[in-house]
Amino acid sequence: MTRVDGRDVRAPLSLEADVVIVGSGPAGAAAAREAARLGASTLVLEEGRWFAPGEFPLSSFDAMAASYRDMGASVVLGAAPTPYVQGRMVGGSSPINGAICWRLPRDVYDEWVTADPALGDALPFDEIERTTSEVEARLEVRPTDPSVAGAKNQLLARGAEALGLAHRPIRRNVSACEGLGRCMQGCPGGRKLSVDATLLTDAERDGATVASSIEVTRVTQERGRATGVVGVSAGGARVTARARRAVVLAASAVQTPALLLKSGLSRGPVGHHFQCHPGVSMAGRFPEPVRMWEGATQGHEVTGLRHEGLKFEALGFGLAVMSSRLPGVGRAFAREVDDLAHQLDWGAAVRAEAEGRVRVVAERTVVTFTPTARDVARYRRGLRVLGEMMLAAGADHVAPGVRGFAPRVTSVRELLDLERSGPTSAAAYTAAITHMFGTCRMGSRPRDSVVGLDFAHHDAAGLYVADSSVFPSNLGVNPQVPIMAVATLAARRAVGAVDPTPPTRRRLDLT
Amino acid sequence: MAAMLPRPRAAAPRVEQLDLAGFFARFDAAAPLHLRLGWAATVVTLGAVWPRLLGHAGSFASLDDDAREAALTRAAGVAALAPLLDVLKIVTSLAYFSDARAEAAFRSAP
Repeated sequence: MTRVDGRDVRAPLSLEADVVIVGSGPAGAAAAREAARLGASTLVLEEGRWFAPGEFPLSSFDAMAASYRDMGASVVLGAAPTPYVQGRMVGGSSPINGAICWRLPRDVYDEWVTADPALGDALPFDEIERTTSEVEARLEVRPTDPSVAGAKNQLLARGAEALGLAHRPIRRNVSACEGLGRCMQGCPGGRKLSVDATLLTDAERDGATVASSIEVTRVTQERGRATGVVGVSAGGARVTARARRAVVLAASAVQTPALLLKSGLSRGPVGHHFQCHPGVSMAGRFPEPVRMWEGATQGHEVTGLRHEGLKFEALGFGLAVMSSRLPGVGRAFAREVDDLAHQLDWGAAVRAEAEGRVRVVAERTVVTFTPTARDVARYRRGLRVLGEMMLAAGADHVAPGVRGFAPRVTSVRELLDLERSGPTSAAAYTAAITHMFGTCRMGSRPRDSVVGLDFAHHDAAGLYVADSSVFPSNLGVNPQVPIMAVATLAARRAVGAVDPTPPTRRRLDLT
Repeated sequence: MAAMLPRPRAAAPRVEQLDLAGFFARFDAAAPLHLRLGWAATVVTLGAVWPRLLGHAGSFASLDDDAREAALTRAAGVAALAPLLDVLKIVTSLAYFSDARAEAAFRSAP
């Protein structure tokens, strides 16, 4: 097992491996595990640093400052600037996500195949399923134990039941969860089986090297072939990594296209087709203390409206994040904060149809995205359903957090008004974006994709993309497990292939 | 911030007991530029400009409690100020609960 800590790298450093992987989140870790398992010498480069469970801070602020990109306040620009959340640490977002595990939905896969029938042969659903099962076994994915559910999750079940909506305990990658409600600050007990503690350590056991606190800035190329990457360590030194066989980009649907663009690999729809799951949330006040900070961070979900592009989850923020979401100003706000033990927040994840774009402007990554009118209608419907579930579960009042609408709502009639005649501008809604996709779309036609169905870049031989940027669309469900499964397959292709197709032929569009 | 924080409860710090200098040093080091600019705009607009637009001679800090409350309540009715009030809530909440005594007091309350 070898680790390099870029904070200590203060002189130029040269590294070399068969496979160089950029990013250590669910995609990078899964790709590294598979590449190392297949016998390739493997190097993982990660911008953030390692965290041991005991290093995760209690407060939201300290956690976000230490392990979130831009302190959790990265923003997509557009008609409604909206924060998007990404981890910046070894393990990517995995150590600070809600540990929610879904398989790739068959209906989403079928959409992909309908749009590009060749995908069905190149990436069979059965192979994805088998790989998913392997990943889930390693991550010990299982439904949330009722003994650690806590009030926020139990009340969501009660509300969904009252409305007749399908619901279930969330399947999570945890082991012996203590219900501390701190998934989003990092589990202090190390009970979350995030990829830094599982897939990456597997890769290390098979000989992989993880180099943390090193920001990759360019993919290097010679005569149409990716030869490695260059970057800079947190200690301020230049780092070069030569790849004997393949460079695998797994830095997220925002960072991967940005890296391609910075490297001059801009042909095709690089950065286009940005898709995501904007989330809106409903706060609610219950007569009895519900102590939102107790119990599994996200332990229950409502799946009954997934066909409408809506999925509902209990949320378990840190106290500061929950507090900032409460209505009112001045003394009214202070009273709400004082009453924090009675407050809950549940979220609706929206499978948005809008597409945005990732660009690089003056070396800075810029993401633009504006929800469509139908997406905003989903916001309204999601809030209505959340509010109805909260009231059905016993809430005194709910707080939609919609500008231009009542700050507190006590009746279903008002919630119907919100759905039918609430603000039509996305800017009126308090939203956040978590899952991002599609910016280096895979496909059989080079003119409308960035990588082929074998994950190989259409132009640069030896270059692969393995993260959610290759997904042809968003999923409508939490993507970490599908990302791990697909990245495993990408690594299998990258290590197994010796680039049979010359770059010049890859440019041909045979359709 | 004091105008937005709850009345003191057992073991919870009052606003003047918070290490705000330490918090803002960490905030300035970690927050992205747009968030720092948003906070600066909030301080200037709500702290200096808005009280004068309401006819007060001094800044928000110079107002008594009732005048502060009135200024915030009127600000809440102005759509253009809504994003600044959101920033005020976010930063106030982050600052308050970054104090371990505040976090502990709320977590241990019945």
